[in-house]
Amino acid sequence: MTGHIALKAAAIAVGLLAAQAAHADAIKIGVMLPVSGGLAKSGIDAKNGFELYWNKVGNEAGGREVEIIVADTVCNPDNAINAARRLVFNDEVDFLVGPLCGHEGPAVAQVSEETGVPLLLVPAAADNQTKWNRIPTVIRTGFSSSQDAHPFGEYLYNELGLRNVTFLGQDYSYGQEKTLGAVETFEALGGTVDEILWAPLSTNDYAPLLASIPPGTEAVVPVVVGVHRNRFIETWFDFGYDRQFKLVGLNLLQADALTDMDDRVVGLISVAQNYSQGIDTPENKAFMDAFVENYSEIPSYFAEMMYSTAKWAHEAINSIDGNVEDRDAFLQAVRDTEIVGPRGPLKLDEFDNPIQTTYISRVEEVDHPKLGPVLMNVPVKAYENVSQFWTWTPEEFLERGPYTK
Amino acid sequence: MTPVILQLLNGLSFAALLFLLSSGFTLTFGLARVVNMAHGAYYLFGGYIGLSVIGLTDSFLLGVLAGGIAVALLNAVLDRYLIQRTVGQPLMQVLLTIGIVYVIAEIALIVWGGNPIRVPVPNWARGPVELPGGIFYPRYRFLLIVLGLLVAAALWAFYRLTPIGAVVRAGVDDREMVSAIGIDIGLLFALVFALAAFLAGASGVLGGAFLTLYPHAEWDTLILALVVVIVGGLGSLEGAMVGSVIVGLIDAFGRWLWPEAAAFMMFGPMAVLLLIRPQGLFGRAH
Repeated sequence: MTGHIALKAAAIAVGLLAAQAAHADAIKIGVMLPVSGGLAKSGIDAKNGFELYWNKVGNEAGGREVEIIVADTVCNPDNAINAARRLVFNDEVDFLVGPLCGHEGPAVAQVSEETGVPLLLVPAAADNQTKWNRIPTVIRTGFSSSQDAHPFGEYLYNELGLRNVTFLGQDYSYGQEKTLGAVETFEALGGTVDEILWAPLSTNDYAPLLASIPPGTEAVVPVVVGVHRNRFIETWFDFGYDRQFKLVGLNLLQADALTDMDDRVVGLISVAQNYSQGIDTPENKAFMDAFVENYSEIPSYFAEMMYSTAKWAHEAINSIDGNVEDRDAFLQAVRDTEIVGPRGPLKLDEFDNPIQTTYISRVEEVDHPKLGPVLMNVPVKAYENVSQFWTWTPEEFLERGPYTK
Repeated sequence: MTPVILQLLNGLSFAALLFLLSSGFTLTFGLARVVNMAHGAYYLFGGYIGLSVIGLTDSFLLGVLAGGIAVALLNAVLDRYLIQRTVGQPLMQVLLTIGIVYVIAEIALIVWGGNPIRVPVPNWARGPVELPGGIFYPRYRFLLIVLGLLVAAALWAFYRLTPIGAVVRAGVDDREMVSAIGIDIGLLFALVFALAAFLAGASGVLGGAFLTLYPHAEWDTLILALVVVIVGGLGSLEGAMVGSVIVGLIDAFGRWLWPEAAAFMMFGPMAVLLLIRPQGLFGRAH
């Protein structure tokens, strides 16, 4: 009899311990980034930003340990799908974060839709994922391609006083969305677009294309990515276009391109983006210092977005006491959470895209206490509370359809 | 008129680089029947080596030489221990050399990082040069055209006018016969292969100064070399010259007049040519 009771008590105790252990299990976050291949530099930068935050808070959220599992996407949709499935089925992660490349976004979102595992979509920027092709388990914590382009179009007209400009856009989805977003707002104010030159991703040499700039235009506004930024700049100065036209970068010189630039680019308007390294806030200063301290370089906007995403997830998990197994509660918590990241205040709109600040940056040479003289983006104008729909209502925007040429 | 001349120069400067890149590629194929898919990776590797040497010595010319020599040495090792094992098995050779591309690219990524890097142009090659008719053109690109012409002339003279060139041509036509009359064809292959690798490595430094070195350049460059060689005809030096000029000019005028169709302009004529003349302009049907 007593033996029975003892046995039962032991069983209950074991059961209780097991239950406790289940809840005390680590929260697993699956991070999908290109940590090898052509975009490895950006991918590792993003990963560093994410880990920097979790290390700062002791890898703990909602009373539970946090475990980060990184899977390599190599900036390729096939690999990204495999990475996402492996994280979901083998590693049994509680939610996914990533990917980096635009065309990997839909691939990974599909896995989230199939399995119900929440996805924090960042930094991949394709417009339609928070507009026409939304998936209930996907929340964006980065930005939409055209989001920062809308205020930039007004900046061209109102602040720079430009009336006749030529755009040069990289001919693929991100390039088209960002270019045409600025064209839309610039023309709405009465500006004239002399020409939009579309540069295929296969462009090796920019000399032939730049010869098509219409002679009477006031300024050239490039949206170029990756190695195209370096090629564009080289040809621009080599052929002396800097003496003929004003150059205003909408997507031209992010931090990772500045490492290979010289003082010819100092003073240029370089990029309109949700982050600028020179933001003068305590949050950004702390982030910059910690990043330089750990990795001995200036963080890119990828690093900032992943750092802020980590903070966002952390506060959301805290608000539901670590119960990430309840996926709906977790998604709701992310939607309800508002944070102040290095790039400023962040909150979601009804379409699960962040409302945030757009910074127009200029290149300046800064004497960094640790790194010495470096070229850095410094904000010259900030548009606060920019929604992906700018001043239109969501209905108007969605009705108009996506930006394609 | 000036824009047309400018585009002509743009086309020719690109053609000069294409020729330096693809002349070696086509000769190795013609002589040794080696389809070396690692040619683009040689370009990138040579470019990075040159970049580092320029960083250390401040000499652009030393950088170009070092890039070429480093790749020639690398190629000697790869050829001796790997590529030679696949002689006569084209499919294995293609797979092997593609594998080499991945290894070289990953090493380059680890050593030089993933950010695009430009090879610095020396002061003496900067700025514009004034051509007759008051046309200003970047000096570096102008010098590249001159260099392309010089190398083309030298290679042509070597190939057509020297006894070694005659043996190389004979080797392209009938290897067995050349060996049978007592010529060490293996040594000849090694020499031509070394020259090809040197040109690929050196062109990486020269091209890196205006196209920039970056991860994935190994593939972009390989495709360009393949297009030139297919248009010109596999194994033909004259084919590489004419092919480079055609591809360079089509690229420049295409991107100027009809930029959206640039990729088509590059590959469309190649497809048509393959239909009409599969062996390329100067290639011989085997």
